[in-house]
Amino acid sequence: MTATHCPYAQIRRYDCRRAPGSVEVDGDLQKACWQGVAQTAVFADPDSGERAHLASRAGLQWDEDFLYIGFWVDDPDVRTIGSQRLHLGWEENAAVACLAFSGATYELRLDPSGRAEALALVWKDAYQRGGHYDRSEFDLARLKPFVWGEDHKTDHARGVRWVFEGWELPGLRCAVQVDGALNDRSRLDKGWTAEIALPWEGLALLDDKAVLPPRPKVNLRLQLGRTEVIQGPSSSAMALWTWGRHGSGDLHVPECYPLVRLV
Amino acid sequence: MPDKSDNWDYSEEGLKHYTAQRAVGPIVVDGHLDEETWKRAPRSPRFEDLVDGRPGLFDTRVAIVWDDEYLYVGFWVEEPHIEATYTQRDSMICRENDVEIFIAGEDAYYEFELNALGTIMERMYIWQDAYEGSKYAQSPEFDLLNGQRVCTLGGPASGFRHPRGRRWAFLDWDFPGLKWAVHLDGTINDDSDVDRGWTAEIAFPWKGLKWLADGRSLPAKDGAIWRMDLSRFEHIRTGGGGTLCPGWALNAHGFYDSHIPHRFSYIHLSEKEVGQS
Repeated sequence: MTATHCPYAQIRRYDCRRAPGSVEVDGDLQKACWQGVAQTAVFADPDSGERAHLASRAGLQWDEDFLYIGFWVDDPDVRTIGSQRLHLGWEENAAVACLAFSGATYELRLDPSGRAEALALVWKDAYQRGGHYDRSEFDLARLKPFVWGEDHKTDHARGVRWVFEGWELPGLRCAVQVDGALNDRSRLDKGWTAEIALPWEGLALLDDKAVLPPRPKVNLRLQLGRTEVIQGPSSSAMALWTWGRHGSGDLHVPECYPLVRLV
Repeated sequence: MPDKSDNWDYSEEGLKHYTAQRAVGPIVVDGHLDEETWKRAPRSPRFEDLVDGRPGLFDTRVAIVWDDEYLYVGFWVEEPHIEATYTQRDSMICRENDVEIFIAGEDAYYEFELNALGTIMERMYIWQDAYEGSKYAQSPEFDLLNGQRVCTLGGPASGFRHPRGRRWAFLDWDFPGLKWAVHLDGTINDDSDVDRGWTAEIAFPWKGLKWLADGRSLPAKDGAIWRMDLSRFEHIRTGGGGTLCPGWALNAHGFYDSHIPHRFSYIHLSEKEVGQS
């Protein structure tokens, strides 16, 4: 079991304001609706808080239909790895959003080519027969999730989770824009931006405690991050940089996720 | 549903065939393979390395016999230093030295592990591609939501990948009526002397095989074929705190992976009594 060191007083907080008008999800964060949005702190190592050598930030806003997430990702070499799934995520350069409800977490990764991959992680203790998750969208026999962890051991004190790979959030919209040239090492890039609209209606599937529908003063647990594959002289490693600190390198600790309050 | 004829590209090369004959009298499951039946039953060749098929470092052999109630497996295990510490049922026995038995059905297989203290671990695995709507899914024994311990094998987080996909692993499942015992010829957890080894005796009630029979009769009829993997694993110290853990099996799998039913040995059931040719 990994002990997490994220005292409640140190959990990051963010007031998420209403969008000033309609938000067209096209990956462009220069448009007017993002101009007044507060940016998060620069993402850092979730364990140590150590600075990332490439900056990334995010901003949030909402309306009746969606939670909007914008990512600003600095990268002089915007590229994709194209790798297959590696454990719970890809080995890939991606923006990461993890929205946790009491019984389940939605985890979305979006790479700079616009490829998105999502997981739903449902706590076994929350998945009861006849309960909120006992529905076709989480049908164990049909969707064949895997159990994390294997041998019924897990890194988390709460227990094991059913992990639904490729889980589809109905109504999800996302887009990216590259400021530079994707997968072209011959020139230097500025980075890329990602724009994600998480539909409240779809998110209700994950919300077993009826936190939604959205309204002012609703608190959400949302971690935002970025993965970056760093090429060394003879091997590569994937860094994860996040908005909130976990006191561990483990992304899957919802109790450490920043608190986002709708205002 | 999966295609039953698909062998998932696993070759038949090197698979061993063993003919299990009928016992000639009662078998007392006490770990002593001293009944007349065990004296007469054909003993397998020495087990071979699970990966490359070379002879196992320590001699390991198996014999299989049956009667109307049970399928019996006997192991002769050479082991110069008998070691085991797990005493709690369903511990991860394979982290120490053990003998293992796998029995396959079309869409499920059973795993049994036993150490020299007589502690066992058992699991039933059901292929995820066959589970939905199956007899398993409809049974309380294999209910995914009744609170029993279930995990998956072969997921992206683990080894044991198989082209057929993942298996649901039922960790709390117990083979009904199972009997087993070990007998040590040496001293356990005592490195001051050299041991000869141990024997293991296991009796599987035919009726407990109903989840794996897939239309085969229970007890078996003459000529029936069951696919089984019979193996042992040995942790060998390499100095400096390191260990290697080769597996030795009735036949090699070609991989360091027991969980490949298409590489299990063929066990032919014969109505002939042991000693009868």
